[in-house]
Amino acid sequence: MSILTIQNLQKTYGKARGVTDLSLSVEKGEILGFIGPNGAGKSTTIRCIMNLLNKNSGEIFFEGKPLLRGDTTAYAQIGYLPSEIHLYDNMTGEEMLLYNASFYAPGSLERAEDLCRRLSFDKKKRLRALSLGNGKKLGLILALMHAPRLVIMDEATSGLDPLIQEEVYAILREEKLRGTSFLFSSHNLGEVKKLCDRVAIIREGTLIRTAPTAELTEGSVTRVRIATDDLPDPALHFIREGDTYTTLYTGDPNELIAHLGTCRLKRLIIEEPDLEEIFLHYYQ
Amino acid sequence: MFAKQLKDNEKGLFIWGSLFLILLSAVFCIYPSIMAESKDTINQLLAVFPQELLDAFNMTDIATPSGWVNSEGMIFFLLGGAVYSALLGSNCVWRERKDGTIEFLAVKPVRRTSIIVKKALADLLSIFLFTLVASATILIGLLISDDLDAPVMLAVTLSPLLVFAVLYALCLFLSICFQGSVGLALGVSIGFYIPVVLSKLSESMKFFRYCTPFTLSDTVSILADGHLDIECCAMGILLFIILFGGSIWLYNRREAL
Repeated sequence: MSILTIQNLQKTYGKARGVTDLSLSVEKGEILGFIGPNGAGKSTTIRCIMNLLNKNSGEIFFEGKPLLRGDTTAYAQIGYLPSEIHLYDNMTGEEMLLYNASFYAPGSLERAEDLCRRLSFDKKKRLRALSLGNGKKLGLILALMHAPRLVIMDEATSGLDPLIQEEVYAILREEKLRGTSFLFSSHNLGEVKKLCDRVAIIREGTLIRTAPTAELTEGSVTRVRIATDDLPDPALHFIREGDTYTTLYTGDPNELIAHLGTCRLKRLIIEEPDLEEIFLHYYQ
Repeated sequence: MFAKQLKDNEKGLFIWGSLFLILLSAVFCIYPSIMAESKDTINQLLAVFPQELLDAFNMTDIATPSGWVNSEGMIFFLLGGAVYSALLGSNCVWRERKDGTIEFLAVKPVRRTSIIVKKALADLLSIFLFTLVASATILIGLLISDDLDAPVMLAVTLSPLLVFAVLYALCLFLSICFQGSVGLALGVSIGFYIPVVLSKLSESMKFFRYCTPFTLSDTVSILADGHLDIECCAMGILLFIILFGGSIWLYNRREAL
């Protein structure tokens, strides 16, 4: 069952495109990776979900009910980490946590304490003195401290050192085991591959593919590398790299063999591409 | 949220309140000696102006501390309080947007109406405290000078509250429509004082008094009647409700970012 469903979301900025006819869903207890290049519409989609922007059309449902602005019951169950965190500079971390806790049911401060310890966050510091990484840590704590059922994260680990990144992944996996669902927008395809159950790829405001991470990285797209003195079939869109040719192939493997049969091969390597390559494949 | 907004206003309230406390106290301390030395010179200077103008600006008797309060003192108080209120109004919700913190606040399980009402209540309390400080300083100054008509002066010094509340709501509304700034606050507060001056210049320009919220605190008519004009109060309250209601309505429909 879906915890979050977006149907035919449309958002424009005057004449400029935001997102077009975007539909996706986040299932209960899953981490859905949301990837795309800058300006593809990831943040616009997220901001429409959080009702920070007014959508032109489309519907957004949380646990089957329309997610409307001012729906305090629904938003009490959602955590949000924006890509850029702007906090109240004159507050300390501790005051910020107290202020955030005032919006939620009791108990969130205990969870915040635990998260501060795990992420090595010094809550005594004034927020204006926080580095980018420490600001991100606080953002993560604020998004998770009220034990939300859905967490929406926009670039969750950017600016964090590798050790803290690993701790964040561990926290997210634990939260997932508790039944929390995530919409996880990221540029870091390695972490998407590591964490996400499914991946949604967005390009120029349109969702172009949603598939289980394993399906994207195994099987459907194949990296083909050949060494030949002949010119390979242009239909395969080979890219020359020194004395070898490389392409990402999607389609009938028999047709691939037929195409490859038109030239004399010195070497043939067929392998599974990584997520970065698949991502680029969908963009080119 | 109410407590946080009040805490955010603390410094501004302290600065504006202290400024008026010091300025007004200083005037009450030095005014008697200035008047003792220069009363004749000032009277000669005032004689140059037409009587209508002096009546309009309530400057017929500036030799006494209450005379000074009713003329120049109230102008400073009104203009200073108007700028303070306009700044609070234009920053109320705009500052969160400008600083980017609205992305934190607007995703909390709280209605937009609740955000704007709690913030506005804290701001209005700050404006009330500012007015109270200025009013108390004037009343104590006049009491020490043995020149206090308590009921009338209480009405005179508290009447600006309505002007401040209306200007606050107007700047709040404009900041949601067009984005707020110091420029907006100064423009609105000082701009609306111009019709007051124009309306007092001649009978034919009297209609200008209906173009500005400053008319809601008309020292001349309060002194003449001995009490606040109920119609003016009702008009002020109605204006505030319309502007504040409009702000809530608009804020609920605008994008947060």
